[in-house]
Amino acid sequence: MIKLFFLIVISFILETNLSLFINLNTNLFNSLFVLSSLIIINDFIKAKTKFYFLAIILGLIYDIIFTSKIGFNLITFLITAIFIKNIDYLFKTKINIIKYLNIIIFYRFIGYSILLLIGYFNFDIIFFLRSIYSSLIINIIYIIILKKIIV
Amino acid sequence: MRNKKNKNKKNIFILIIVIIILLFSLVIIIDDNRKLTNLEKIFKDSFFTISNILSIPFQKIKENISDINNYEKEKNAIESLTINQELLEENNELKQLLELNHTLNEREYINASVINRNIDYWFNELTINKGTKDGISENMAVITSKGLIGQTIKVTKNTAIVKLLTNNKFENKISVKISYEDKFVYGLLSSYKDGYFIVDGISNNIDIIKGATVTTSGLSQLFPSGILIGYVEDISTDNFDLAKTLKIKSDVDFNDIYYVTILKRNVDEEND
Repeated sequence: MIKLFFLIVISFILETNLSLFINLNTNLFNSLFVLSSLIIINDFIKAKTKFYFLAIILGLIYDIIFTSKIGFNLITFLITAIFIKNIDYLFKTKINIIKYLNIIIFYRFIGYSILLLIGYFNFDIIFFLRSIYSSLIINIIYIIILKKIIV
Repeated sequence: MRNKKNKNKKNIFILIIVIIILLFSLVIIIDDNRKLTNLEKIFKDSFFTISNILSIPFQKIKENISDINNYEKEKNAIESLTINQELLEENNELKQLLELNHTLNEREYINASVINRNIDYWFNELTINKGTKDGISENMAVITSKGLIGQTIKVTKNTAIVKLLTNNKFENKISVKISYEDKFVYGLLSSYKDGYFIVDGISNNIDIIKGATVTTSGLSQLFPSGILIGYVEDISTDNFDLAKTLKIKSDVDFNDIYYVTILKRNVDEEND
C-alpha cells in the first residue's frame, strides 16, 4: 500500500516537472502520469468499488492541483476506471501495450467528448487526434518502467 | 442468481444517473470565473511548495541543458521598453491626446516563472509561481517580451493560473488597434485558429497591408494600450465583400513559455 502511495505522489510530482522540461512543440510527450499510475494500481486493487473510489479521489486531487475545474477529471478518471476494470471483456487481447493504448485513447475520448458536450470548444478532429498521439509514447514508456519496478 | 443480476443492473443504473448529474453540473463547474475555495487554495499551495522543493534537481539539470540567457533577454527586452525616455514622452503625448488611462507605464511589472504548463491538454493554461502575496489578483494582463499572452484567472497565495489567448474559451474579447497609413483602425480579436488570431469586421474601405502591427487598444480596463499582439499575415474579405478578416500571427511561441511578466494594476485603478 505504501508502494502505491509513493507511486501516486511521484506521478503527481513528475507530471508537474516534466511539463517544464519538454517543449510542447514536440507534440509527442504529453504526460498523463497520474492516469498511468491508476492503470498500474489496477493490478493491485481487485475490488471494483475500492478502485473506483480511488479513481474519484485521484481525479479530484488532479482537478484541485492542476486544472481548478473540480469535477472534470473526477468524472473522466471514474469513467476510465470503469473502462480499465472491464477492458478484458471489451478487448480480448493479452498484449498489455494494446490495453494501455486503448485506455489512453479512451481517456482522451471521454475528456474531449465531455468538453464538446458542454460547449467548451467546437469539434476539431485534428485537435482530438493530436491529443491522442501526443500522449501515447511517453505514457506507455512510463507504464512499462513502473511495471518493471513495482510488479 | 436473478437477485444478483438485478442488483448489478441497479448499480449500473445508479452509476449512469450519477454520471449524467455530474456531467450537467460540469457546465457550472467548468467556469473560469468560479472563485477557488480556501481548501483548494491551501491544497494547491501546499502541493506546489513541496513540488518546488522536489523539483530542485530537475531545475539544476534544466539549467545545464537549456539556454538560461533567454530569461535575461526577455527581462532586458521588457525593461528596455520602460526605460526608453523618448518613447515615454511620446507615449505621454499620445495618452493626453487619446485620453487613455490604461497605459503600460501605469502598471507595475511582476516577473514570474512558469511552474506547470501542461494543465490537462485541453485548457491552454499555465501555472506561475506568483500569487496574492506578490500582489497578483484575477484578471491581470500577462505578457512576455514578444507580446501579450493572456490573463490571470485564478489566484492562490503562491500561484496563479494564466489563461492563454489561444484558449478557445477566452471570453474577454480583446479590443485591438491595427496600424495603417500612420493611423489606427480598431477591431476585436474574435478567435484563435491554426496558429492565427482572427480579427473580423474591419471595413473593406480601409487599406491594411500585410505586416501591419496589431496592439491592444487600451479601451478595456483589462489590457493596457500598446501591448504587441502580432502582425497581420493574411487579409481576406467576407462573402458579401463588405468587411475584411485579418489573420494575425503572434511572435509568441505559446508552447514554449517559461517566464512571464504580469502587469499589476495600481490600487487607484483597482478601486475604480
